[in-house]
Amino acid sequence: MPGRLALPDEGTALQLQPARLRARHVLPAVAFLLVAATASLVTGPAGLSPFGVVEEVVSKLPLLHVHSPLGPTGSVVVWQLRMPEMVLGLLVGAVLAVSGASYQGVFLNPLADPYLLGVASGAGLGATLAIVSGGGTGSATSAVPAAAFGGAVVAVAATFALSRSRHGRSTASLILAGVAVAAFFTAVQTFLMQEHSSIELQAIYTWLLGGLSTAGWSQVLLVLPYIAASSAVLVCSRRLLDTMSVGDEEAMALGLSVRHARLVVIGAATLGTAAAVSVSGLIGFVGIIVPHAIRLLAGPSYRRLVPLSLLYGGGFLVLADVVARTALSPQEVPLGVVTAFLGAPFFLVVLRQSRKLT
Amino acid sequence: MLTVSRLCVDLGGRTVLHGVSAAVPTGGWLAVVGPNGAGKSTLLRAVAGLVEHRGSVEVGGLALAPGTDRRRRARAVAYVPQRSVLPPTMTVTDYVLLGRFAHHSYLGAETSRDRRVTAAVVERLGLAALAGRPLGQLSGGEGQRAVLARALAQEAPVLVMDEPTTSLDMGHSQLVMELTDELRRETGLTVLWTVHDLNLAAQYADAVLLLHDGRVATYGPAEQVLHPATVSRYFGATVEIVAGSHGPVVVPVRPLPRAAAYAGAGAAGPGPAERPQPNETRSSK
Repeated sequence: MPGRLALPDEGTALQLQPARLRARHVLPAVAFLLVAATASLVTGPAGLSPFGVVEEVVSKLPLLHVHSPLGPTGSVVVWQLRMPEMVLGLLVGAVLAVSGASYQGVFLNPLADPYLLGVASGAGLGATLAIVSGGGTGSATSAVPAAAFGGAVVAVAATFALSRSRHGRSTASLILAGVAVAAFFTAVQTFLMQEHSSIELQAIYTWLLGGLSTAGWSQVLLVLPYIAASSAVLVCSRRLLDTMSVGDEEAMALGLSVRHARLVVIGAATLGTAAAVSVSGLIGFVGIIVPHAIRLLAGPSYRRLVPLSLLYGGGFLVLADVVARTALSPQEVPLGVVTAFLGAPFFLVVLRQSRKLT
Repeated sequence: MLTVSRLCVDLGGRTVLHGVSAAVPTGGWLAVVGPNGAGKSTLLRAVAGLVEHRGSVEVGGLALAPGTDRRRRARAVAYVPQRSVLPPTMTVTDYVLLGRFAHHSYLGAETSRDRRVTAAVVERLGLAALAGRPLGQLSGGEGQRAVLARALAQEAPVLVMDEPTTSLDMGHSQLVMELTDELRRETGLTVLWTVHDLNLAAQYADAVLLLHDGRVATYGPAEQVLHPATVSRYFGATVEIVAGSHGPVVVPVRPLPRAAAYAGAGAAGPGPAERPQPNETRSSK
């Protein structure tokens, strides 16, 4: 066949070291996740003994025959309050980080985050509408997740529709349309907030700043299908993201249908992010800090970055939530404030590094 | 064998290529030359399936219609653009492995054969010592070899290169060209190549296609196409053509004073020219 070289044996080929996810990458990530999860379960205002909590959890595992020292109240605190909050933190953190990594891959931009195409402003407007229409009552609060999710999806759909020009759709036009849509939705939201009372404003701000503290199993179950589907699609697309890193034209020449792949990745990342913000509010910077920290640890390949983002993203947000709950205890710091507090300086470091690279 | 027939491309409402036809035999090397804006890059991008086109592109009897599956096309035609994107932190191995994208399953991992092809290409292009190095740490010449390696890893019978030596110095240009020539002799690779430097075209290609305003101006062996009057007419440059050991050598010279140039203008026109004999010099005087 023309164009083919004689091939070496398998031994020679094994000397090459393509980027691959190995146990030495996965094990520390799993350990980090377990530490974060344990830290989250053992901290809280109920005054439960940390060992008691661990024994309570272990007692539910089959074959171990450990007896829990906690009473029924303690058991309820662990399983109905702390556990759902921890699990929700894992899910939200994982999907924000993996979406951030995927957006950075699709847009070839290290500073892209999951809110790039208007998810945050759309969700913000949706949540604001739900809160002001219900006058800040309990029924309004229960409508917030659906409204926020709807707002996020509408905003990204608007960005997509507006970014199409006569010459098709480029990543630059998508980003610019995202900026315009975000500005518009935020303007409407600000207008609505100005028109309403302080009770509603309080509720809106609490939602905007993000948090997991109202988490219950119902919220976990609400978002689990979206986050699981979104993460699965993104993990499956990790090699496509590597191929996209050489730019649209070359990726197409290598055999990738770039438009199609981009649509699938953006769609999955958007769906997962929209589900996450619908229950947790706007938690910033996770989608930037986590993928970049992993790049520093394990290199730039999306084959490692995407799966590791799930693990480290989940762990990071759970730890940030522990900080949010304990830093000024008994007062709770909004989770979005904690991630931004850690994220902003990190963002600047990444910005400086990416300048060096260009 | 690469056959292009009646290829037309419209870009932004303007026709950029008007029915270009050419055929390159298996193992052949066709250089596309022409002034800026002649449509050279567009021709290559059409062959690689990167722009909408009318007319047909065939590789080894396999028709590559505009809607052809991208992966199938990537297995037939490897494309090297004028300036490749080299992600600075990606290693040479990972970059070359991207050339195997069209061979392994769409979402799956690379196979043992993909790794062996990558190893063969990396070794053949002298990149083995750099295999684990990030692309950002390579010199211009090394980077261009990595790009060539990625294209070869596609194991496509046709290699399409758009000015691959633009950013290289003379020595590295020559190195890349020699490597390409060796590879086509070794593996029967068919090469389609655009180049500004007419000398490189004359030295390496079996045939030269001169494109002007999206049409084929002349097409044939370098000795036939590279005529002083042709170069003057299509490039607006005054040159002398010297017979070299590997084909004609084009030497830009200062134009004669206007009066003398006008006096000779009618005499020399483009057309089938006789082969220049060694030591014989012609110019558009």
